[in-house]
Amino acid sequence: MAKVVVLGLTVPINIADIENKSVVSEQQAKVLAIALTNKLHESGYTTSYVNRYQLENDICYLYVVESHIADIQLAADSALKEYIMQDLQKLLGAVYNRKTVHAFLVQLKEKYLLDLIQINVVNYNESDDVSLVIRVRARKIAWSFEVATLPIYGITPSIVVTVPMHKAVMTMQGQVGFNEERVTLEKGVFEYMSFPATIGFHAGVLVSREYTVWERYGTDFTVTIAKPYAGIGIFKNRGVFDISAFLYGVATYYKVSEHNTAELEDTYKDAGIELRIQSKDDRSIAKKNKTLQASLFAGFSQDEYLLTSRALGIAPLQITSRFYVIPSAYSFYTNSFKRIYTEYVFDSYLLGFASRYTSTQSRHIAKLELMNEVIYEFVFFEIFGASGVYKSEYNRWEKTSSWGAGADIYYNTIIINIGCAWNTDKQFSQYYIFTGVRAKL
Amino acid sequence: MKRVIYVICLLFSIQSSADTIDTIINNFAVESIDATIVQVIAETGKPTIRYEGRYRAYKQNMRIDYSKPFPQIVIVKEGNLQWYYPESKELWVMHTMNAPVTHPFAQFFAFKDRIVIKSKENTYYGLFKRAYKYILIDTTTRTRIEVIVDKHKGYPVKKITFTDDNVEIMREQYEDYAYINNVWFPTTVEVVARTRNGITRNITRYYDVHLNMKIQPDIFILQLPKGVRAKQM
Repeated sequence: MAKVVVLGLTVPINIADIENKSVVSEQQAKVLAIALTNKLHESGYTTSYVNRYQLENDICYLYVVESHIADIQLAADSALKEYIMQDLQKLLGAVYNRKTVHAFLVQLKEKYLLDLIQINVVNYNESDDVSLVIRVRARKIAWSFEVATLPIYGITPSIVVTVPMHKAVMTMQGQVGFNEERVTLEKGVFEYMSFPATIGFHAGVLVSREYTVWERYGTDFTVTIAKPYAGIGIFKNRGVFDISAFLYGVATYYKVSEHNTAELEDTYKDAGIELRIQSKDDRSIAKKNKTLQASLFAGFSQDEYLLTSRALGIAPLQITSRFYVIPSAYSFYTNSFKRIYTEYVFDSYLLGFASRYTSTQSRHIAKLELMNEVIYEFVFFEIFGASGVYKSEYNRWEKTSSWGAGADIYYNTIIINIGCAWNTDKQFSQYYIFTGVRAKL
Repeated sequence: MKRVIYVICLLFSIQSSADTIDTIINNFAVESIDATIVQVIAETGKPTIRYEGRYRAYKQNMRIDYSKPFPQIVIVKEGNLQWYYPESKELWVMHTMNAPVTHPFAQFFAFKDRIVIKSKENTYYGLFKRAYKYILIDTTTRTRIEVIVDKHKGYPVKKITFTDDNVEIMREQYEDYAYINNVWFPTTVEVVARTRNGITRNITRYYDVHLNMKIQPDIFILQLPKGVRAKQM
């Protein structure tokens, strides 16, 4: 009776049952050789095999030929070819395992947003080793979806399609809003941004139709807007902050019509220049980013000079690994009294009044949010308070405040948001519930 | 000439602080640790995984016996890492750094010979707790390290590592310090790192911590069943 000795096997498969067997004939040795080859193949080593066996005295030798990855050929239409190849190099020299290689390629597909990854395994120079012939195709488009409940606009699903290009990006956004059985918003944005160096180019067009209320006159109407813009600007970085400053030429066409009354219609046009500045700590890996956005528009319409400014600042402070204090501020000003240039007072910056449609020429809001990660990477709970001053439709400065609580639930790339807000001068029974779902594909 | 002056100024600024790396943080007199740990690991675009197990370490040697989400044994002995999956009898090995593993912050000291202090200033952390902020430079990798140290207790509370072009690559937080056997020990450690796949977040919570207890040295030797072959990580 011959004892079984396996030679040439380095990969981790359990062959105890084969090694424990005894062999008395060539036929039995052959059966064990086939069994070991099958075991290799079942474990994913589909190109490795037992190439011969030998019965010598009281030992039965099984000679395993392991098939190594000797060469990798990559065909890619992606600018990432060099990086993908760098990653694939890790496979070189390893014993080919179909499962391992497949798992590795799945990782690469996710990592580089690949649309397609194909592999052919061929013999390398007629040896037992293999050559991997891999073809990848980059995903052309990235999608993100959002469904939010916004004050005034109601349920607003939106979709953003991003097409990455070489040192440029093209973005298309579509959004609609439904509230009280009415379409409150239809919006489409097309943008192209090129960033070949520190100087960039940005152009786009916004087209929207929005249901609007002017509380002072008790009227509701629809505003249709077409707004093309083109600008040039610079990108800089300071510390962990990425900073951009762009100067745009902007022209806007407005058509205002009383709701469901086609006869009462008016049109406005304006043109001017707009400065947009953005600073965000994108180079940080903090959970919440510090952001500053500011814009200043100066131009003229048919009958007046226009000046409009907006600024938003968010400065999250991480107190512990799961507790944040997030102060933020928002400011808006326009010198125009026309309704199309004013903003609603109560919106996502100042939650609480779901049914107030009053608008303002100028408002300045400060908000403080306390956020705690209740369950790691799953549930975040927040309480917030916001307070501000605004110039009412009767040209008087007024104060208002709101507070509320909410929760964010994270699951993979989906974020679900739910909360409730109150105004401080209203009863507890008068509340506003907000919800939202965001997802990225 | 301008460059020479710049280099001299830089050297002066680097050496201007009176502190040394050893005196920045003290209180690491931990020879051994035996604790129950819960780790939460989250990676961009992947489900968050929660691990639970027993953590034991003695000087440079460490062993973690994970019970959840499935059994795994991790051993670091003399700079060699072994990661064993008992259910599939799979063993992965890798050579790692030979650094102390008995205090979560102590690995930092493996690099201390190549780190210089650039500046020190007063700051606050948490809810108005006073601290020192040190800016350190790793002379080998040119990374900049910001370390926040509690002013009174001398323990580190935060360490942020930046590349030389200001990209934050790692953020570590040391929290919930407990005073055990005359040693301040952080029972919550969070490490957020930028990887090629996105952002990875690792939170470790230590429970039932025993410091400087006797640990049998043979636990750092992995007992393997027959037929297990090692794979390089």
